Amino acid sequence: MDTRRTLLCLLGAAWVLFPPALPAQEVDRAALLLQVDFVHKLIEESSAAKQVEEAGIPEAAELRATARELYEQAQQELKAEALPAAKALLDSATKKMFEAVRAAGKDEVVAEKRGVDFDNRLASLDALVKALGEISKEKGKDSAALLAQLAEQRASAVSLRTSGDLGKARTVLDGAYQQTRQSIEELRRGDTLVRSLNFASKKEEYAYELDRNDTHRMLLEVLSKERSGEDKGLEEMVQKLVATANEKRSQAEHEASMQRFENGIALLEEATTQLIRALRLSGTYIPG
Amino acid sequence: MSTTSRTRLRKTRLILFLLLPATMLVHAPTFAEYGDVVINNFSDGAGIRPVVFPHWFHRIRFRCKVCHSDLGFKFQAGGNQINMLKIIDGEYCGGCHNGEVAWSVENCQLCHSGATGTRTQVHHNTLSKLDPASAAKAATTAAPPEAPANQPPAANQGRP
Amino acid sequence: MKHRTLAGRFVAAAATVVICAGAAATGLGAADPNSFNRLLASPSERNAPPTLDGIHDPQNPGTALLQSPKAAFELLPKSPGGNYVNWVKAVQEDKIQPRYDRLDANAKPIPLDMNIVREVKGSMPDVVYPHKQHTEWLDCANCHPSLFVPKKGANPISMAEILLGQKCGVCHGKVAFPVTECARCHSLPKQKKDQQAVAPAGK
Ligand code: HEC
Ligand code: HEC
Ligand code: HEC
Ligand code: HEC
Ligand code: HEC
Ligand code: HEC
Repeated sequence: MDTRRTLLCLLGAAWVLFPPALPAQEVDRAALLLQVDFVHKLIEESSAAKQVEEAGIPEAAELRATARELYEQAQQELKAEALPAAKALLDSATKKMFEAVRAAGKDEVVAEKRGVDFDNRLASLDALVKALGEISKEKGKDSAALLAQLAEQRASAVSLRTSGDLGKARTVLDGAYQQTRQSIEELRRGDTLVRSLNFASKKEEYAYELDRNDTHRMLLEVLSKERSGEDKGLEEMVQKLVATANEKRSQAEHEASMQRFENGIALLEEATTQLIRALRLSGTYIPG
Repeated sequence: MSTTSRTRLRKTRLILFLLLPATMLVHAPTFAEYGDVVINNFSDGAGIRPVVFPHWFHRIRFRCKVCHSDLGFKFQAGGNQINMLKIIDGEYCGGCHNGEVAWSVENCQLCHSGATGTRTQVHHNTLSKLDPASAAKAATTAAPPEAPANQPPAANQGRP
Repeated sequence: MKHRTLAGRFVAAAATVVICAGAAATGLGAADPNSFNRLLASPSERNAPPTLDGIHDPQNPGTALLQSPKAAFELLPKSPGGNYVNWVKAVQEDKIQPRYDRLDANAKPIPLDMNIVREVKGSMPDVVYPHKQHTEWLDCANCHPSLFVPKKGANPISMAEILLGQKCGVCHGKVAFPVTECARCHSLPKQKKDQQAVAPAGK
């Protein structure tokens, strides 16, 4: 669809939905009917309603009863076509129900999530402190005092958690976390680390080549989805290359099963080369 | 990567390839914005429209860290089991949609704006180009088959 | 009376939407074999407004109140895929000021300036993973240790996994720029690497 048509359509839609003369207080009937349904679900069916029911706290039950009353009144106003009044009542009913939910106590739901959040942050602190130790060693910096202090903060956070003070535990934990991240930042600032490829064995290199082969296969799949046009001739050439690649790959797998990883690697490299050709044919730039 | 997770990965891939020809036929384009998340664990069942969460809109206003670290949203569409109780209690969307940081929870129809029946997923993800069905499955199962490995892998693949 | 006209407006709005969606669909289906851009998604298919995007319900009164991505992206630097926005530049050029703290609008991130180069065997340029651009947006805990162990040799990564939505693919191909933008990750060509002075620390 061309841009002009899109714009016209959009303008049309905008004009219909927001006519310039529409007074601000006008209540939209369709929206109001939808709100009636929403408020009903909120008070009677939602997870929030269930919580108020199950908590068995009189204050919460009372607030919910008030919300129900307001909802009924809104229904009456709606029948009398008094839309603004109905809307105001629905809004109040919603607010009352929120109060009911809060009165029903949020401790359990919230505590469970906070616990999970704490554990995740703790795992992250441990990983980063370990890295900090290794980086200090590599850089010849004595971080013993810092590491000891971090270990102490960690222990204190964990014991606070065990004794039930999750809020304070998290504060102490976050302190240690910020300190660690800052120390790593100072030591590593401006560094470029190279993860070079050195295979410990031919078997390992073979595993790497398998991954590479999968990689190219899947790239071909994903990138062909990016194309919208169909080109039969090109498709055929691609299929032929893929077929050769498949053949080489199963030969490679056979070699590997006989523990001849060297041969396996060579065959996989050939298979992958076919796939690279196919990728290039379908328009992906791969140098070399 | 450990041998078991390697085997699992391989199996996933095999299944993907077997399914490919079938799924290519039902690949229907949507114009959804990249990164839009539809959340529909409960909505269809509750008879309301599913929720559409626009990443693009929120990342203009917040760094990822605010939601995914401070508020504890897991990186998994549908994976946080969000419901109205949690939101009203100030968790997840309720951390901001509280009338202070952003408009409050009363505005049901702004969040519940999705087309009924749209399944939980993040739109235009790469996996959906490989195989829409398993992309949806990976998004809805609480523990994906390829859960991020916390333990150091056994084989280091040439990077000692 | 008023209400009836309002209801009428809704029907008209819905009809407009259906017509527009239909036009969009036919625009896609009838491919001109000699169209100028054969493979590139046409700009009119990008950043569709919520009422036309196929996942929002145009009948929902709230849908029309939502912002259209196109309007928001007008002033932002462009990129060839995903949202068609270069989010790295958008922040660098101060075009957007996303908060680093939910409440404190003045909190600033302290980015970690550390690159990890991952050599690859084939002819693709090596991958440079920059902590700087990531820590502008993300917290260390988002990746460490759940996605990557901060340790040399502990993280085998393959492009296949990335395409399946793991490792870098947890974000790239979902929310951060998509995997089709190869050169942003494969950014260190083989020849150049030898000339570039790299710290031996990671070896
Ligand atoms: C800030 C966004 C947001 C707003 C506003 C919102 N919701 Fe929700 N709601 C959600 C999300 C997210 C879910 C989870 C959806 C799912 O998994 O299907 C949900 C789920 C629900 C559910 C099913 C689960 C449950 O809790 O029982 C109901 C019912 C519901 N909402 C009703 C409402 C009503 C009524 C309102 C207005 C008073 C409302 N919602 C406003 C985000 C919102
Ligand atoms: C305002 C809050 C918010 C911000 C900011 C935010 N996200 Fe999200 N993110 C969410 C929500 C909500 C979900 C869906 C969670 C659910 O359904 O339970 C999600 C899901 C995700 C997923 C999982 C997709 C999947 O299913 O695989 C990824 C990846 C992600 N976000 C990445 C990011 C990145 C990267 C950024 C920063 C550029 C970001 N998010 C910013 C709220 C946010
Ligand atoms: C970190 C804070 C934060 C969290 C968490 C958050 N939001 Fe928002 N959201 C905002 C802000 C700020 C706005 C803009 C409010 C305004 O326009 O006044 C917004 C706006 C929106 C909009 C309207 C977008 C538009 O086009 O105007 C939707 C829809 C929305 N949020 C849904 C959600 C849902 C669903 C969740 C939870 C899954 C959520 N948000 C969680 C801060 C947040
Ligand atoms: C988006 C994900 C991501 C984020 C966010 C992130 N990192 Fe990393 N980090 C990585 C990757 C990827 C590696 C390289 C892993 C490899 O190749 O072995 C790495 C490696 C490291 C290493 C190991 C370097 C070495 O000494 O060998 C350290 C330390 C580290 N990160 C610290 C941090 C800190 C501190 C933060 C927060 C300021 C952070 N990271 C944020 C992804 C991330
Ligand atoms: C937790 C989410 C996440 C993970 C995991 C992640 N990234 Fe990113 N990455 C981002 C975000 C967000 C940006 C900012 C740009 C954007 O959103 O498009 C980014 C930006 C980048 C950039 C900067 C591009 C530029 O133009 O400067 C590179 C390069 C990059 N990522 C590579 C990687 C690689 C390689 C990996 C895996 C080792 C990885 N990323 C893992 C979220 C992530
Ligand atoms: C988000 C970052 C990212 C993007 C985008 C990306 N790659 Fe990769 N790629 C990687 C990483 C990380 C590796 C693994 C490097 C390693 O072995 O440690 C890799 C590996 C590869 C390999 C295998 C290496 C070899 O030896 O041949 C190929 C081929 C490849 N990528 C091609 C591509 C192509 C083609 C694209 C674009 C369609 C692309 N990549 C986009 C990050 C990326």
